[in-house]
Amino acid sequence: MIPYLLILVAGLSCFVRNRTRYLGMIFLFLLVLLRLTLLQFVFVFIGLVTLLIWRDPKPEDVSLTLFLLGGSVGVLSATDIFTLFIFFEMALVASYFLLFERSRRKIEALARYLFLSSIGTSFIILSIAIVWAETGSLAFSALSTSPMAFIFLIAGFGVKMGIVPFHMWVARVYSTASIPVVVLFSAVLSKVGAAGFMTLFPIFSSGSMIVVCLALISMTVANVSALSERDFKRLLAYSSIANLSYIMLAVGAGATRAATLHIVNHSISISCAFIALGIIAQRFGTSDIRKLRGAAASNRILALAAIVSLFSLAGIPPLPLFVSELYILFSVIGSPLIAGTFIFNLLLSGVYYANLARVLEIGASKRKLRLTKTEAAVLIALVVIIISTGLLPALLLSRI
Amino acid sequence: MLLLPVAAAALLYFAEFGRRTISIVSCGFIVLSLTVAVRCVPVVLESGMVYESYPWIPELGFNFDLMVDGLSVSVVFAILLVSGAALWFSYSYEEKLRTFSVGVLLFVSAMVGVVLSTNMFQFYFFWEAMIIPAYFIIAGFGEGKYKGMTAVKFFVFMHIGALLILFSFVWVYTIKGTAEFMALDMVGVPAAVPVLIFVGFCIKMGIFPFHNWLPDAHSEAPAPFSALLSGLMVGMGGYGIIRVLMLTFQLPPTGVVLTMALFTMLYGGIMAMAQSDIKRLLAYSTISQMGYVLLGIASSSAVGAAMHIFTHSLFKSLLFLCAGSVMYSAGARTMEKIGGLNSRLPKLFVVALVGILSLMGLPPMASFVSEVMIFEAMGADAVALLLAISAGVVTLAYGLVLLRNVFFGKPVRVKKLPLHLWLPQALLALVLVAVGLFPDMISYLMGVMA
Repeated sequence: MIPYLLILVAGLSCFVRNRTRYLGMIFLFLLVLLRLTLLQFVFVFIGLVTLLIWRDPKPEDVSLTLFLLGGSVGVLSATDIFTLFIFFEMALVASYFLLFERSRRKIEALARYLFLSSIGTSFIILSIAIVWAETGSLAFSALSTSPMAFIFLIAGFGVKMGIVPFHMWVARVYSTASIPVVVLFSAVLSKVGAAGFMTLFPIFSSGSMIVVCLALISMTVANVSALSERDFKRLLAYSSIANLSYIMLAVGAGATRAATLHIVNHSISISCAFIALGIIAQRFGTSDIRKLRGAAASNRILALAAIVSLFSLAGIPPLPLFVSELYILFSVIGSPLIAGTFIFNLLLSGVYYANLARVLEIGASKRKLRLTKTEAAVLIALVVIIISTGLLPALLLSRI
Repeated sequence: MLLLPVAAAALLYFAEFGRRTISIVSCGFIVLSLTVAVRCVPVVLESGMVYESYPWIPELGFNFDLMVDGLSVSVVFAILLVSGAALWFSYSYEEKLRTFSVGVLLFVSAMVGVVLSTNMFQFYFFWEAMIIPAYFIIAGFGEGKYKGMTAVKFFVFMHIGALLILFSFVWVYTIKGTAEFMALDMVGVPAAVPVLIFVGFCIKMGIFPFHNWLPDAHSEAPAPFSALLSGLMVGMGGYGIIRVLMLTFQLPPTGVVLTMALFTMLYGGIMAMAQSDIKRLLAYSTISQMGYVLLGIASSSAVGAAMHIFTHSLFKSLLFLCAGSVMYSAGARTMEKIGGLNSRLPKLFVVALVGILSLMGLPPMASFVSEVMIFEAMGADAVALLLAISAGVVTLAYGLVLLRNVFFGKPVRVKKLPLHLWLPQALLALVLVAVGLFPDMISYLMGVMA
C-alpha cells in the first residue's frame, strides 16, 4: 500500500507548482507514522531529511525523490521476485532523472551510470528468467540450483550497489551529483540494492563462498582506493562501496540480522556525513580536502556532526557502526582468514576517516560558517540518533 | 563516577562559559567523581567489590556492568587525581580551554570505563573510545611542527592494537559463549589469543618492539595532556594485562615477557640519556618505566605492577606538568637552552625534585615502594636481577642529568610562574610523598581483587 501512496503523491506534486516540497514532506511524515518495518522507516526518514536540506529543489526533483522512495519501500514490501524487480527499476529510473543536469561532467557521469545500470538490469532479468524456467515459480521460497542464475544475480545487483568490479560509476556519480542526490544514492538506493540482494540470496542453494570472496576483494579495493583520495565526495563514495561489501559479507555468511543492522546504521551515518560535509563543500565551493583545513571547526554543531558521523563510519565505539561491525565479525570469526581480512579493512578505513576528520576539525579557517535553522535541526537530530543507537543498540535490534 | 565527566563534557561543549567557569566546572566534576570513588572504598574493603548492572545488548548477553574492586578503585584514584591536576594546570596553560577540557573529560571517562568494565566488549568499547579525544587533542593542541602526522601515527598504532584485541575477544567469545571476565578461563582457547591480546596491550604500553609511536606522541602533545597520556593511558595497557591475562585467563608469565621487560627498561633508559629535549627524555623514561611494570607482571606480582602503574602515573604526570611549567617560564624545551632554574623558580624546583626523586625510585617516595615490590617478586635469577638493577642505575643517571641540566648551571631569564600552574603540581607531589610514607593504604586496597 505504502509504495502506491508515495507514487501517487509523486504524481500529484508534479502538478502543484508551489509548495511542492512542503506537501511532499507532509506526506512523507504521515507515512512515517504508519506502520513500517525498520528499513522502510529508515529510508522514508532519510527521504524526509533529504527534502529538508535541499535548497530550493525543482518541483520535479521532489516528485522524483518520492518516486525513488516509493520504489525503495516497494522493494522491501514485495512478496515475489518480479514485484521486487519492478519496484527496484522504478527507483532506478527516478535516480536517472535526478542525476540529469545540463553540464558536461554530469552528463558524462550519468551516461556511464546509465550504461552500466542497464547492463545490470538485463542481468537481473536473465537471472529471474532462469529461476522461473527452472522452478516454475517466482516466490521467494523457490529454490534454484542454477549457478548461472546466481552469477547473473550477483552481477546485476553488484552493478546497482557498486561492488568491485562493477564500481566504475560510483565515484564519478557521487562526485558530480548534488548533495541531496548523493544522500539518496548512498543511503537509500544502494541500500535498497543490498536489501534486495539479501532477500533474493536464500533462493540459491549454493554460492555463499563466491559472495564472501567478492565482498572481501571489493572492500579491500575500495578501502585502498579511498586511502589516496583527496576529494571527500570520492572518498566517501569508496567508503560506501566498502560498507556495502561489509553488508555483502554478512549476507554471504548468512547473518541477515547483522546485514540489516549495518544497512540501517550505515544509512544514517553516511547521510549525516554527506550532509555535514556537503554544507562545508557548498560554503567553501570545493570538496578538495587539502583546501578545507579547519573548515568545520568554526561551527560547533557542524564540527560535532562531522566527528560523530565520520568516527561512526570508522566503526569506533560508542558509535553504532561498531555494533553492526561487531555482529558481522561474529558471523565470520569461524574462519580467521576472513575475519582477519575484515579487521584489516577496518584498520584501513579507520585511517582515512581519522585523517579526514582531523583535516576538517583542526586548523585555523578564515571563514566562519553559519547554518540555517533547518540544517542545524537536521544535523542535531541525526547526531542524537547516531549516538543513542550506538549506546543502546537494543533500540534497533528489537525491531529487526 | 563514569557519567559525571561525560555530563561535564556535554555541558562545556554547548555552553558559553568564561575561562574560570570552564575550569571550575571541569575540575568540580572530577572532584565529584573522586568523592563517589572514595565512597566505594569502605564497601570494597568489606565485601570485595561494588557491582552495578545495566542491560546493553541483551540478545547476546552483554551487559553494561560496572564493577569496582580494590584494584580498579585505586587505578580510578590515580586517573581522577592526575586528570584533575592536569585540568587545573591547563587553566593557565591552554588558550582554547573549552575544547581542550571537553576532550580531556571524554578521555578520562573512557579510561574510567575501561577500568570498571566487567566484560570483554564493554572493555573494548571504552578502550577504543579513548582514542578519539586523544587523537584530536594531539592533532589540535600539539606543540610541535609535525603534530598532524604524529596524531595520525598515534591513531594507527592505537587502532592496530585495539583491533588485535577485538579480534581475539570475538574469537574467545565464539569459543566460550560468554564475554564476562569472571566466567572466562583458558580451557579450549587457542594459544594465539593471549599472544594477540598481549601484543595489543604492549602497543598501548610502548613496550620495546612496539614503542615507536610513544616518544613522538608524548613529546608533541601539550604538556597537561602528555601528563595524561604518559601517566595514565600507557598504564591502561598494564592494567589490561593484569585484568585480562593475569586475573581472567590466569596465565603464567613466560620468559619472553621477562626478556621484553628487561630490554624495554634498559632501552628506554639509555635512549632517555641521549635526549636533550626534556619532553622526549620523559617520553623515553615512560617506555623504561613501563618495562618495570611488565617486569612486575613477568614475576607474577600483580600488586607490584599495579602499584607501579599507580605511582608512575602520579610522578610522570607531575614531571610532565613540570616540563610544561619550564616551557612556560623559560620558553624552551631543550636542555641546552635552560639551566639554573633552582634559584629562579624555587617553588618549581621543590615539586620537580619530588618528581625526579620518584623517577629514580628513591625513598621516601611512593615509587620506591613499588619498585621494591617488583624486585622482591623477581626471584633469584641472577642475570635478570643484574639487568634490572642496571636499568635502575641508568634511571638514576638520566634523572641526575635532567636535574643538573634544568635546575643547576648557568641561570637563564625566566617568566614568573603563575600559582595555578604550581598548585596542581604541589598537590601531586604531596600525594606522592604521602603514599610513599604510608604505602600500605594503596597496596592493601589493591590486594582486594576480584
